[in-house]
Amino acid sequence: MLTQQIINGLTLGSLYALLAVGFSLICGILNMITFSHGEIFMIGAFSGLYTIIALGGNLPLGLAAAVVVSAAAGILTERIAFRPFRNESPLSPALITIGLSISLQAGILLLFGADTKPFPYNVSAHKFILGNTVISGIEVFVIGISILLMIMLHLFIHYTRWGLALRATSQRIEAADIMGISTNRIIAIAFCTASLLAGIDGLLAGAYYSAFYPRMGVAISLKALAGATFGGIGSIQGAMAGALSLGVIESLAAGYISASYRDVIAFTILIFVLLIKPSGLLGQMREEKV
Amino acid sequence: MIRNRKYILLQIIAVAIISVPFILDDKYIFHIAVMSGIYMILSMSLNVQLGFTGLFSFGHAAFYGIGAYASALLTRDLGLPFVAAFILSGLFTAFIGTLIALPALRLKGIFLAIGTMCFNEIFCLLSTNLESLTGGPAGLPDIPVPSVFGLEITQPKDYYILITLLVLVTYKVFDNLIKSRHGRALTSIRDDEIAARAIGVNITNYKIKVFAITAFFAGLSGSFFAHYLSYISPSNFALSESFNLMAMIALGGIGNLPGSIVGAGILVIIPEVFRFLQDYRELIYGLTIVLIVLLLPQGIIGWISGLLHRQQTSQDLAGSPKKFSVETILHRI
Repeated sequence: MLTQQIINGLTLGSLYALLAVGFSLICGILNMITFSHGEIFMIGAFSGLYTIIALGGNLPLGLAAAVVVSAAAGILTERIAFRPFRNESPLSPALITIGLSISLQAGILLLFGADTKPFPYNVSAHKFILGNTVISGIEVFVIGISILLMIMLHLFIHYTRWGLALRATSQRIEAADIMGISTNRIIAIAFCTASLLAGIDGLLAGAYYSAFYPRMGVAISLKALAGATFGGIGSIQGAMAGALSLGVIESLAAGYISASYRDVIAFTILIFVLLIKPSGLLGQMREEKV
Repeated sequence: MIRNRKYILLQIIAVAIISVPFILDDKYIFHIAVMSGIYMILSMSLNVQLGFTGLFSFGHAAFYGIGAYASALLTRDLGLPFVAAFILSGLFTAFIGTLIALPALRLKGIFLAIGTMCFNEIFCLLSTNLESLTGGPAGLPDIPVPSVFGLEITQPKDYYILITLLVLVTYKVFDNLIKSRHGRALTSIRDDEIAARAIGVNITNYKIKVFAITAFFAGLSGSFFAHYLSYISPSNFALSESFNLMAMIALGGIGNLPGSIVGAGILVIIPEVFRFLQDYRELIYGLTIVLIVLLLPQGIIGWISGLLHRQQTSQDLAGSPKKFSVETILHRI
């Protein structure tokens, strides 16, 4: 029972984590918040699903379609909602992304209808049984892909020149500018990375729950944002750890306390963490200077 | 002289708008007008919090919901008269607002936004799950009709008169607040918290009071809403409703009190006007928000008065930091 709940929680947490690192990248660099990340997740999921259906079950190409479409959407979001408001109040980007998220949901609803679409293949056919714990193939797949992407993201941020520029930009954007880093391009790359992770995540989540619908990104993106804040927004490792632990906490709460109060428990814990350490568990507080 | 003329003009417009529903005398028009009134109170109170004090509150709909549930339960289950329940639900919401303010004081900017969003979500989840108290997802039906000192309010016209009075009172209270010493203190907190602290503004105290007073009015509008529709459910107070309120104050202008009235009115009416578009309404609504923020960064009132002002002193505006034309915004993108 306990290991079963932890496996479920890790799967859930992996799904949160891929979105949470995106929030963390964007908030870490710009100190602004985006509300359309869940919709980028959703359009990634839909483009992946329809590519897979059209090509008769080609999963790698489906993932590629999700990556391309969501990355493009992310770059476009940055152009429309964030670039005009650099160094201004985070309110304008927040409002624009709210508007974008409403219209993206409505647009997908008009294109594909409101009904929930199942994933056309049975993904839980393979089962691994360890003692009395059952792990389905899709769970292994979700956790595996998620870990792989996290390692790739870590390598990208810490061992490439773009990653170096990304870290420099998130420390201090003006100083990075002076050092000759094209901060506009770096911010676009951050959005692109965050969005393609969201797109892949969308397809994974859609396949895991076998449910694709226009509002599929709403609840999960709020949870992922909570997870990122929980671990420390702005820190990639913090966001991963926060999202994974949120997933596990939620699944344990559902198993041992009450299934209908799992979300209440998750959000309440987040509020308490914010109270005790507003920057999150692993986040670093930025000093405020006059 | 110009100021005086402008004032008279505003009064004429106000009287005209208020009397329109009486001329048309249609139930549907009255309904839209009453709903606009409820949102006007909500967006004005959110604007005082966000536009004047700079507190990023993304959970205002929760206060609205607390007022609505409190009032519904007080009248329906405890049998209190409407007026008492109305005031009490406002006070209760203000009390919750104070409780929320205490943790919120530690959070700034986007962290406050995330914290308040979580608060809104927790409220919705609780109102969905505490079925014995709130009726769960099915909501609370049969909320008694309001009666004010023995007069039962049943006609749409009566609701309309009541909400108009309420909007005017709310406007007057907030207008006096922001024009007072306290209002200037709030604006100084918004502009620079450290500087405000340095000149002796008690930031903690003011932030708590702002949460309390804005929550009070949000609670009142919630109470009115509950008795007007006589049915409430958790979906009325979801996070998307908080986002709608943000859009309303953005349209009217952040930190512009009359703007909130206009913004709320327009964003309640737009979906009704575009009803014939059916499925395309949401799409248009979303795009409207995007375009408002991109093209009218100071809101519709700021834009109009900017236009009027430019005719009078065109060179004054030449140096202003924000010029709003399609070309400049496209250039910035």
